[in-house]
Amino acid sequence: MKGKRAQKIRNDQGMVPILETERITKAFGNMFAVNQFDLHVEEGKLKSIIGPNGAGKTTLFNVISGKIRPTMGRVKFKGEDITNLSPNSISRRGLARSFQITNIFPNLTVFENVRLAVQQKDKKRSSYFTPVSSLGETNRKAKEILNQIGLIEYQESVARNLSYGDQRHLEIGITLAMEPDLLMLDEPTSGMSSLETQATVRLIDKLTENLTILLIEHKMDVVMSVSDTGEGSTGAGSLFGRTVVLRVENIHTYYGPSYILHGISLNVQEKEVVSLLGRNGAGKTTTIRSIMGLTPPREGRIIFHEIEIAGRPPHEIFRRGIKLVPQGKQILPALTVEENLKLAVLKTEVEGSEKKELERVYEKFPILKERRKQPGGHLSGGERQMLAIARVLIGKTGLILLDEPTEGLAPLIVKEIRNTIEEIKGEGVALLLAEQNVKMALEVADRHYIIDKGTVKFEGTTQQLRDKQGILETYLGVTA
Amino acid sequence: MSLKLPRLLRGREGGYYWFLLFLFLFALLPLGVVAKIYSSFYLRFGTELLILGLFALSVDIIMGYTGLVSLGPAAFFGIGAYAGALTLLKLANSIWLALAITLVLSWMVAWLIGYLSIRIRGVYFAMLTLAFAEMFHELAFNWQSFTGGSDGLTGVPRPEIGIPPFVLSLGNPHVFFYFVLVVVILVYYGCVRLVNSPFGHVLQAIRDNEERAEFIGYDVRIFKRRSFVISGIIGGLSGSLFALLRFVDPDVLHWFISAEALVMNLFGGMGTLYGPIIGAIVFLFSKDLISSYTEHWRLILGVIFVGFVIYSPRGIVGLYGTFRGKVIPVLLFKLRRPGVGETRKATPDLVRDANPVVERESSPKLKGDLPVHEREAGTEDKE
Repeated sequence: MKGKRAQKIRNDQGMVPILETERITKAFGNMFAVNQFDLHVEEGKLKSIIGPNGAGKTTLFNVISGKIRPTMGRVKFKGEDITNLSPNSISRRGLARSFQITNIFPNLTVFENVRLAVQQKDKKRSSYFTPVSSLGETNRKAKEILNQIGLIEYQESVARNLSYGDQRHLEIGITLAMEPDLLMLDEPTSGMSSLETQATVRLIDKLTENLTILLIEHKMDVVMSVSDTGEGSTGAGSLFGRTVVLRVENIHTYYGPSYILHGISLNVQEKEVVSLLGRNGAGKTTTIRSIMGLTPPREGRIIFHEIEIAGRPPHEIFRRGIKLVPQGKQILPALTVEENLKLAVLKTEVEGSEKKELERVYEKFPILKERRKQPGGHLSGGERQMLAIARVLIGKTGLILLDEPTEGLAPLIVKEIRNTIEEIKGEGVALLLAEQNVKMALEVADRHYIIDKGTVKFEGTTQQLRDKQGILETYLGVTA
Repeated sequence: MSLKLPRLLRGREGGYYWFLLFLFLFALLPLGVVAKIYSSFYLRFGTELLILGLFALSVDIIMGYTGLVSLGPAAFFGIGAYAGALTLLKLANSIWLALAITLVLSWMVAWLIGYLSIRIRGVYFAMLTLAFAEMFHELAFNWQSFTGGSDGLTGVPRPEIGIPPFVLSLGNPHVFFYFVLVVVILVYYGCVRLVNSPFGHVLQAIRDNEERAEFIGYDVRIFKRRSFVISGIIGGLSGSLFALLRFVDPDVLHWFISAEALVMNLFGGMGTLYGPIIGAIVFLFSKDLISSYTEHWRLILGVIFVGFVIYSPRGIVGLYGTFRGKVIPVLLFKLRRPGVGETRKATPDLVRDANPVVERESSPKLKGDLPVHEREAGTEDKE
């Protein structure tokens, strides 16, 4: 791992290394995820590990916290060798970690989530017949943590019903509740909008003043500004002289009894990239799912190439040429890259041979060719996203729906994905892009829809959007 | 609203205590026999319901609360039955000794099976528990001299309880019924305490997200093994009582017994303690009812079972939530939806409107406006 390392000194007293790694190496097959990594974390300091996706940051965390065993090397915590201990004994020694992919107890209440972590330190942690409600100190501490992370009003909600940002905060809350000597945070702002990121950074700052922290992050402001190339995009005028590929007319969609989309209308034209902007929970994913037929709208029409597709099953919509790249890079982790792609060939009518089709895709994604014999599960986040996009390029494609393709990816990879999108656009495929990364959307898309609370609040070209700064601020909380 | 319920009966944990009241009502059943409203067959049937309900409850601890699907609960049921019967036949005619030996034996067997099988997960764990149960079945079948082989054990004496001169014979169906009822109430109450204890909460955490439970410092293997042992002990206890109700043969160890226990759990609604007992009652009642009309009762019950698993995965006790969450709102929407404008007014949009987006840092969606019923009815006040 050759990522840059940044160090921020919290106070000058502590110089004892609380965590040390000696030549940590982890190999998956013959690929080294972490190679001879030495790390020293001194007590009372905040240390960050920065690096692009796939650099091995999370693997390093997994080794330290006992989730996976290193191929070689040792981990020392407070002077003790903890290399081959189980995660629970490492946690009990005072090392707490959070997870990049939210890892809470989804069916328990918010309060129970935190209390379970506090309870671990209680004398009666595994008492059989005392009611948990009688553990006064534990309950009090759990409430205090909830107050600190600002979730006290949702303490009785089932954790899975929280918004994404709040779930991330709960993730941190659980870790804090363990009262650790060393806090390891794995991309605490992954997948957050910039406003949420700010709030989270403030939260971490406030809560962890006297804690020792090891932080993985790629969204450092510095890195952000480097990637800010501010490339202009196609302006007005692109609306003319093109055929409409997809027309969504006034759709209303529900999840069970919850009313999510309150009459969304939009259209996507030939060779056009359209972005769907909005906060978490605004209805972006639901719109995409409605188009794909995964949550069909109860009312309204969806017309693709002059054919009504609302209410059709997803596989039929897929065969007509609408391809979805779902949020969260859902590839098949046990199959190799090549097998993942071959599966896509199987499901589609391909012109020419399978081999030719694969070659065509590999040409666009050389990294996938390199990795073609590796299981999908061994790919980094960025590579998984590439694979997910590559998969939908196989066969006849009229419209690609991209749901948050840059979520949780490093700026460098975001740039690559942007280039890929532009390339796809060049080939005459239309794209509908749900995004939170406004910068990216402004650069890559021709037209934009801002949705909020399930309705369209703005529709227009990049230029029009840039002219109306207020809109971005009101609905997305950013300035472009 | 106007009716103020006692605190125990309210809130999320209220259901546990409502069912406890229901169990107390069971005590009235023998009165019906005395008053000749129905035949004494129902007294025996009621006893059987309670015993198999207890068995289903044991499965709920491991499956419903810990999330481990064991296919071998029959092992404990059978071991309990044999231990109880053999003690009464060969050692002493004392119910207390029989129960004590049952508890110790099922504790040891459960610990051993748990020790060997909990290290592996999912389907492998399930198959291993099934394999162990089948081994015990074979053993009971072939160890003619000790277990009576396929003939089973006959002539098990009915012990007496009480201190002279107040002695009652468990041979009397009324006495036995009350004895079983007391045991079921005590065990049920114990389980309610258990699932609300710190230990029980860790089990539920493991069920929900084993990895995170491990990472906040709980040795999940030990917790799972303890849960398995507790489930095994209760299973053994139910088997022992069953031996006093009927005779014992290798069928008590048959995998069919395990399957029925799982079906009762899914039927009634696992993860609730009372669901499986209700499941056992409904299952046995339907079986009795349908089999009096046709011998193909499995076919009919199977169809009902499939319907439940698909449409109400949380079983009979989940029906309320299922209806409240889906059917009722859908009916309401369908009924008052003349036009789009109307629909908009009828939407549960209070939360969103109460929180203007601009002022919030995180998104306003999904704050309580996703199905509340997903968890339990009435989560409003919990201490």
